[in-house]
Amino acid sequence: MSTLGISSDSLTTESNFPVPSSRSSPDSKIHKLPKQSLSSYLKSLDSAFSKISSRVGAIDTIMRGGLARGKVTEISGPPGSGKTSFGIQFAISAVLEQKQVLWIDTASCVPLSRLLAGLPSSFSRNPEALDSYVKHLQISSLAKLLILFMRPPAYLKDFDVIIIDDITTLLSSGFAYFVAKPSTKSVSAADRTQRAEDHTTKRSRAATELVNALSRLAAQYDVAVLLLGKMVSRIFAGQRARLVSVLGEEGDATSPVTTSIWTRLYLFRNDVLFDNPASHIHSKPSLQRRQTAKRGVPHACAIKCAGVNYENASLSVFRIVNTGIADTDEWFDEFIVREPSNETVIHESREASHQFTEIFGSFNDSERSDSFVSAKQQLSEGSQDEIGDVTQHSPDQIASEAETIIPTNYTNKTEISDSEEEDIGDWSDIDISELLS
Amino acid sequence: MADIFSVLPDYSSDDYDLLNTFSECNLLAADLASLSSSVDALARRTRRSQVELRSFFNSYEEELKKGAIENGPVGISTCMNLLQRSHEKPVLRFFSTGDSRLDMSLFGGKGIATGCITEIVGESSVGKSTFLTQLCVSVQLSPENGGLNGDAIYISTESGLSTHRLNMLISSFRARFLDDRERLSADRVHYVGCRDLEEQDHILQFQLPAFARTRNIGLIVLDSIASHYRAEHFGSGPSAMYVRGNELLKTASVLRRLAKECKCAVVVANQVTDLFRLEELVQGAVSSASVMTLTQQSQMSQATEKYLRAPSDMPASSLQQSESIDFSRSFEEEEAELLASMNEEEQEADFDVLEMDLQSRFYTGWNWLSDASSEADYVPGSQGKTSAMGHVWSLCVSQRIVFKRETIEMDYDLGRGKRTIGVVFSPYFESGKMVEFEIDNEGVREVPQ
Repeated sequence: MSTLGISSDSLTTESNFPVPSSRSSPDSKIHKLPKQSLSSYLKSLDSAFSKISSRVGAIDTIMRGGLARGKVTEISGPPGSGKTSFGIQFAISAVLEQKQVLWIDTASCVPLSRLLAGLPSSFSRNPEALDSYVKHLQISSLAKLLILFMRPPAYLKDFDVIIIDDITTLLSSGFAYFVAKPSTKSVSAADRTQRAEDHTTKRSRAATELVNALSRLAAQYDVAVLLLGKMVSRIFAGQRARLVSVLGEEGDATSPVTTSIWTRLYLFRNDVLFDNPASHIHSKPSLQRRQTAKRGVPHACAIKCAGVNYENASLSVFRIVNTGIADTDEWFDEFIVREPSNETVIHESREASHQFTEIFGSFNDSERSDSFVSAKQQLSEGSQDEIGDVTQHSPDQIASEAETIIPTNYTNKTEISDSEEEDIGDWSDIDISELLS
Repeated sequence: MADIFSVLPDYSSDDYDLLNTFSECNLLAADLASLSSSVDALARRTRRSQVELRSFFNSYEEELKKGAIENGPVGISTCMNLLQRSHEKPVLRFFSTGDSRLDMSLFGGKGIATGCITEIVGESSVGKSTFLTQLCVSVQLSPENGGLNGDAIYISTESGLSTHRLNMLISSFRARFLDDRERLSADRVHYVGCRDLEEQDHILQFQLPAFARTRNIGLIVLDSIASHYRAEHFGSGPSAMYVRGNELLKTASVLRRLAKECKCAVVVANQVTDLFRLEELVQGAVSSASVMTLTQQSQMSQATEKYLRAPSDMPASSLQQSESIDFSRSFEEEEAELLASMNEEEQEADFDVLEMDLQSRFYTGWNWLSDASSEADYVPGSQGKTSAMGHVWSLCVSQRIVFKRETIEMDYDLGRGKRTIGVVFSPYFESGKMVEFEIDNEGVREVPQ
């Protein structure tokens, strides 16, 4: 058959289609994108080959495989939420798959030692090997970043992954020199909004041009583009300030996120209240469910994936580690293992923690939100039964930030009690900061 | 183009008239870059011929590409000069804080990073200026002893550098690092004071780069960024915040450029402000909305009522409502409360995890939520502290280090407790750990556990 890259099993369905042959003139070849049949394209969309995995199960799940090639992915969050760590994680993944990475710095320099820590020691001993996979560019102004992608030099097409850390620094300060024209008349409300608008208009225009240029580049050369952005604050009329991505939100008319960004992840921190399975050892019914809050746990939320906006966003927790990010079932293990307990408890909790990731891992688009809600519901239902003597506290409480992520199977593990009679100890004695370190 | 010389310092053009036209139309360097694909629209706007504009764009693009883009990407190991190919300073270096134990606990054994803006935030008299003075000394050390063998520049907006303290630290370091006795000197710390924002801008934009080219600079200290912004009156209301934010962004980009050009560390001290109660926040917003139309005002008051009636997610408001403040609330009680409130479904309806006040507790250095139940940060009437200069400034810095001091109740007075230091966020180091430190004649040192 004449088209390129068709696998044999798709031939049967395509053989009746009038596929244009590749006998096109040499001149037009330069201007055409590579041809591919629709079904093989759809297949390749979801195939592992076209994604750079994050090597973290939960994150791969919410991103449907990881960083998509040929597309622009955006990860935004407030300072300290794990954006650079995500970048490092993907950079390491790409190098391990022997792909070429371009890291573009705008504010701080890339944490090189963290990159090396996640790679085999041969890279640390021989930095030239690292140089052959990862290249670096430092861009100090928005004008330069725009020109780099609007008039892309030839070397950009040799890369498989381009990571920009971060876009907010340049987009915010690129227009800081914009001085509103002084008006001779008294400043009217209309005038003031006019000036404010200009600044926002400039920024959205620059963001649109940049993202469109990036998505063209990504599609043309099959590059996975990862944009890391700090969230900016936006005051909505009548409400308080909220953090949003610097590129705008889904509803904005002037934002490029609707058309040009394939996957969007929001990173943030939140308190997590979870169940300690070891507490089932307690014989007293009122103390059976002991909750512990882990403060400031990093969360990743995919608000858009594979071009589809999520009504009920898919959420996952993760851990920030030196080499990037890590899975949370490791974290669960670590937490349990620190407790003086017998092996049965550890064994059971490991099993339970695998089920924990299973719950998150089994999310599909439709089922995702349902499973999440049911876990929450289970907690609130279960807790009403068991903690009967909780005194009434005033409604304005801490809890609105605390989410509950409960692996539903924990509640059923009563056989942990086994032979363990000794008291685990008072939870308040434990230094949580020690656990968090 | 007002900012052409900050983007392209060596730009020269035959047609300054065209640049003037761009300025009049309020077009900045980045605007022109983004408009480079729509020359006809630009021609209409500036009333210039397309031919003229196209030739401008050709030279403009060429200029922009000069340097990093033209040369192309380099191997990443050159960031830290791992292959030691070049005699130039690498972009990313680290230098010790002066206390090796502190370096090990908080900074991965390395120390303060160059090439980016590091912020030190803390209340007054917690030890920020002493720490900055110590950095000015430790940067002069030779690389074998953890320094950069560089000079330090101290820009003061407040009370100035204490020369007494500086000399004490120098003699203490000389005693510790005998082979660097000759290297350490007060002459290598260059001091400049600035009295207002205009002077500060001028120093940072013009005087400092010129000065830095004559010496090997390792560290630039700005103590502090907040004092002038707080002193100067920008107006009131949202437009004032916008103007102040712009000034901050300009200052930050100048500092960043300095850090990259001189390949030095830039450490900025910041102050602390109180975070006020929910109702006060909203009232403040309502009162500053003096030019809003009637419909907007009614919308705002509806929203205000909704927030005031809705269960507040601030723990301190419950503290303030109760008669006595119980600091001994145990962890369990807190968790039991959490659980109780989880049962109420309507709590979750208005909950927006990305609200700035909720997220800010993770990156300002003060988690007013968890801290409110301990004595550490409780100040009557407020709900805790936050770093000054707002979210805009938090985005400008790459690293934030927080200095805290416990206040303990002692009879009739609030006494001073232990001092702690920790990394709030950093691309290089782990955050969240607070270590205790002390200050004496030797400087700032971690208290051994």
